[in-house]
Amino acid sequence: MSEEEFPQISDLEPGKQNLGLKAKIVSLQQRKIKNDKGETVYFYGILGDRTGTVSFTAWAFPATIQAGDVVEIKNCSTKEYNNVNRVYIDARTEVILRPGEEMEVKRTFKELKIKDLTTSNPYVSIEGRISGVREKEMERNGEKLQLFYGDLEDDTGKIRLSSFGKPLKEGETVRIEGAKVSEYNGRLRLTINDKTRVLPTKLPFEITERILNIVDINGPLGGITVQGFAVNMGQKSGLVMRCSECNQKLDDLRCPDHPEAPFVYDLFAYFTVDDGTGHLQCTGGKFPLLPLLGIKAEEFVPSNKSISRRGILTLLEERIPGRPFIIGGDLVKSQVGLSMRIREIRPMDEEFLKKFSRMLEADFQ
Amino acid sequence: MMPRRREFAYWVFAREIRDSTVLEESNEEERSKPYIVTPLGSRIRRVLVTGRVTQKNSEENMTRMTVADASGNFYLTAFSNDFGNQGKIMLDALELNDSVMVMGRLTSFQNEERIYFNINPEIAVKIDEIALKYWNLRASHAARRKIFAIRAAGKSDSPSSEELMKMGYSEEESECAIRALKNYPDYNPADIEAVASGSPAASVQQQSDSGSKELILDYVRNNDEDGRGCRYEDILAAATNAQISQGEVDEILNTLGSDGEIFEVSLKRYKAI
Repeated sequence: MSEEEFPQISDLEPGKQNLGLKAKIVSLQQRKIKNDKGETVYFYGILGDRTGTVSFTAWAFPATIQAGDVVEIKNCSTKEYNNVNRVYIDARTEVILRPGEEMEVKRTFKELKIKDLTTSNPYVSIEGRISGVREKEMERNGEKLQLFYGDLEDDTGKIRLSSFGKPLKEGETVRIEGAKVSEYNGRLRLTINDKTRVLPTKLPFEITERILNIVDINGPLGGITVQGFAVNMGQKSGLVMRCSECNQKLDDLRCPDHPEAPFVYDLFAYFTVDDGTGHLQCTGGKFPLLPLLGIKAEEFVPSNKSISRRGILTLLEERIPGRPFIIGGDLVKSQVGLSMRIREIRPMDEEFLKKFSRMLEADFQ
Repeated sequence: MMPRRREFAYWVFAREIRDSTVLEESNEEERSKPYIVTPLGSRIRRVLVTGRVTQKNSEENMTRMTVADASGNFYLTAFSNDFGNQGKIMLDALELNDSVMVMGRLTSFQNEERIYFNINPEIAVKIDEIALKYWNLRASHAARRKIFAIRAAGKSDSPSSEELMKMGYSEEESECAIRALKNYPDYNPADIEAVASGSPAASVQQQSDSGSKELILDYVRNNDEDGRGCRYEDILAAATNAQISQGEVDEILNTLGSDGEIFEVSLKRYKAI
């Protein structure tokens, strides 16, 4: 097949079989999955040519081929998955390395809102406001790099943002073209690299409290608010002792690694919230929960004899199960599904009800 | 092993439960209780409801309670056994006129005439007016959306959940609408809609329910002619004359029984206490 005869990536349609392609491997990753038949490895990544990029999945992939190589692919197929067209490489497919060949790749970035970000669309353009900026120095391949990190939020959610080299400005509203979406510790994050463009912009939307129905939650989104009745509370909720040196949770009052270090108090509670559209597991520590229990941070110390395991548990049981709450936080993905890390929790109030009522009524306008 | 899916808890008005006549039997292998299919198409095994405690009858082994919302009554029972003890403790801690939130398993008992529903509480706690208002907002919204979806489906020649989802209804709302049309093609949801819309008709209905209750209780008290209890057929005839439907009569007899005002002395014979 000559160069001109290969279909171009921008022309690929779903549902095609026995396709031949020539493309550059833009990215290549692998993942292990466990099922009834045992452990399997599959490969995924992005293919690109001068017309655009497309995601691919491969059940087998030559070990000698790496990201950056140009390859010819024979007998692959295309199929739509999660509304995205993908190239599939199976046992019948041949992936042939074209050594020494170069190929220019046109990067195409999907314009997305934070709530719609997934790792299946890894390169995106997005608009939002930067907040919580911090920086640290890192070393990569012997070279010192400045890492800036913080959050990016729009009207649908909030996501962790990291930038290697390019400074992030607190409060700036930006358009980011070509940021990479990845998942780390069950949470999504966006990375700005040297090819990403960060442009100041005026946002065409307002950023306010993002109230979601539980049924509409479909990924590890940050910075959202849910409401609902707490319908139970986990048995392991209660007072926690931690080492003041390493923050490790202690089963007895002495840290095995720092026996001389005093312990400090922490709090942990987990419960299910039901909002009538679904339910969500929520977990919280002392920062969001202490105000709910009416305990000041400075009172929550081992020297305060009025704090006890039983007393804390009784307070949690009195103040949480059966009550309706407004809960702000970040969703985290784990093996058992999505759960929410609570940043803020407050009892249902009249003001929220007014806002919520207007929101629900808008459905009938 | 896959984690077990948690049973969805429906936020529904008492009237939607009361008007249910369809049980969806589970297959024999599951050996679990049947789903109750309501007139708005909800497929229920668990509910989360709120209301005011209007009756409580606590015995050593069992506590029965009636909780009323704007549309009717929920009946709660908790036993003092390995499975229900926590529920019984929670019910025992509640008092008459308390506003409560109850989440529990919905069970059914069927005789020749109708199906009776009961909630076995998993959690039952006293709540404040704001919590009550919040539940009402949510339950009303859900009921109205379902009624709108049923109407939209009713206008189509071949309704499907896909078609409804294209119109903006959620998967759950769309499936409920199709189920409702299939199981309750002639059901009129006007009463539920009145409650969900906060219409004054709802409170009028409450007042009229209370009048009907008095009338039936008086009839049972005054018409036990042979000392063997007032006959159901006679109660029904008197109620029909007073424009009370058979469904309402059954509901009121059930309420009066739960309230401890009457008891069924033998099949279809009632005595006042």
